[in-house]
Amino acid sequence: MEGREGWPRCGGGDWEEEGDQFERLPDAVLLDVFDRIGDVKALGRCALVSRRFHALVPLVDSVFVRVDCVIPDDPAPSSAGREEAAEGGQPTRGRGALAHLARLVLGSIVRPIQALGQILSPATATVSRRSVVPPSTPPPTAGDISHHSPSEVLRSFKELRRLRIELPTGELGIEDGVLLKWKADFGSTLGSCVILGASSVSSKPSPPPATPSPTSTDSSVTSLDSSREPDELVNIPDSLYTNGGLKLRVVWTISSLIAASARHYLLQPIIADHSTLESLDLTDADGQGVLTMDKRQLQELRVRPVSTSGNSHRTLMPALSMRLWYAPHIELPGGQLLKGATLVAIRPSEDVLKEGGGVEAAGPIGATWISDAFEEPYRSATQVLLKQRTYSLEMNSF
Amino acid sequence: MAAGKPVVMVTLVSSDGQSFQLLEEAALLSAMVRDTIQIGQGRGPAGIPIRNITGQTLSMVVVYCNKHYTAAAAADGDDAADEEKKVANKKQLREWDEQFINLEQDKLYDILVAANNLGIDGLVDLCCWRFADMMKGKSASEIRVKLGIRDDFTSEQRAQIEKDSPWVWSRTT
Repeated sequence: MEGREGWPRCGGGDWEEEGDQFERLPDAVLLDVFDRIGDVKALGRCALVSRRFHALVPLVDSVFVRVDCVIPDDPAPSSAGREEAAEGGQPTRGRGALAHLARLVLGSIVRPIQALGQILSPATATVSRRSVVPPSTPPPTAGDISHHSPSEVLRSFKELRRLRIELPTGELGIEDGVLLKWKADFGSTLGSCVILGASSVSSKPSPPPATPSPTSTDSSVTSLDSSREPDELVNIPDSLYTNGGLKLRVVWTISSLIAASARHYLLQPIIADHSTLESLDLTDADGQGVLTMDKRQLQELRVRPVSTSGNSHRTLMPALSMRLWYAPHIELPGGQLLKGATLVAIRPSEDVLKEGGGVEAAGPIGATWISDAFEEPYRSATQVLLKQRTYSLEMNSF
Repeated sequence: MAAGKPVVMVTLVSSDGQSFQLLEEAALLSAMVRDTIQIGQGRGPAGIPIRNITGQTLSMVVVYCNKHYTAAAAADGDDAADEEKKVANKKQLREWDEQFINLEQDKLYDILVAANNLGIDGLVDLCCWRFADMMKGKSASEIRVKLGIRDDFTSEQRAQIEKDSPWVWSRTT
């Protein structure tokens, strides 16, 4: 399918110029302009402007696709739904409990997506007679994928080097006021993942601790400029073990990993279609999750195909090593207050063993992969959390 | 650039005979000027003739080169300076760029063509962003009107595109 000529190229110079100033611009420069448009719908409209535009648009190297709707996966509620998991305490030896949770979580807060849906919202699809997809279209991940899936739309672009796809929402159904963000990078499997969560975010720092705190450690506000002595470090309060706080954080972690691995799985047909791709980002409009793949990682995936997790639509997670940092309160520069702030850094155990030095020692983007994972004001929160005491966890492949 | 270095000026001469004097180092932002000077030309009183670029356009290009040279030299001067200042300076330069390129379309074409011929990457980039902004959010026919481009598709070609990429047609053209 490599040499498929989607759009007829027109030969140069056979259109009459009638004050068409764009004629004075060489193709390379006009292509530079198109490269800065990014949005795939805007590019599509440009392609309809003239024959020259039509011939050049498919050669752009940088495209942004905003997905308007996704097709949700419909997992049958798992029988593990009522299973009790992760009784408080012993978090560092929680392998068994974590495995149970993975199953529990699948049926609860994650809404795995099965396909990258369509990029055009139904309202604009007025041309129903064209909705018959040519049989040559290879079905990407699922049979019921929409006609205007990103794979289909992107097929016209032959020279793609940078691609960013944005989902309409994050997959994690979190409650209002809860903060949960993740950033993961993948090759054939997970390279690293950083998760930042908080059980509540209050935008206005109301007169300090208005809510009575059960324990004294809970009420200590970790402000940004405080350079604490190591002895003053706040321990994970006991209440976290007993009130389900830790369990919640484990659920966040697993949910984020499941969302990330489901996204990764969906990208395979697009990566297969675009051998020129050098960077690929899959984000969501909520700013919840960011999945990135760089040139080396894309190459790795082409050479070593993805292992699927069971018969689910997601990439298998390898055995993982994690570090967890916790702070009861963090005040952000913009005045936001994070309660129960938690940072989790995750890498495949195999890589950590190979490189030595622990989870946070060396990521794919150097030592700053954890602290630079999120943008302000969350970057500040991450840096505060990194100064807290760390806790190690291990997780089996799932 | 060391402080003791003598100040070298070059002269650029537009297609309509206007001369512009500027610091050689500012003019070196242009790959074309760089090449000319490298082969030992252009430093004489006759200056460097810039074909196909009028004085009106060239004057704008010179303003751009001077500004960016000055900004780069200032940044070089205080490389020990704090990160915050660097970020602020960058932001300032970006705002200047935006002001500078906020031009009528005709002038924008002229400057893009000139920047491309002279090989001034930063200015080409700036013009491309501006044109891209003009095209975003517009239908094909709006783009045609805005940029003065003729619709030269035959009905046959239209039908072919419609068949090949139906998604493009979901919006009005």
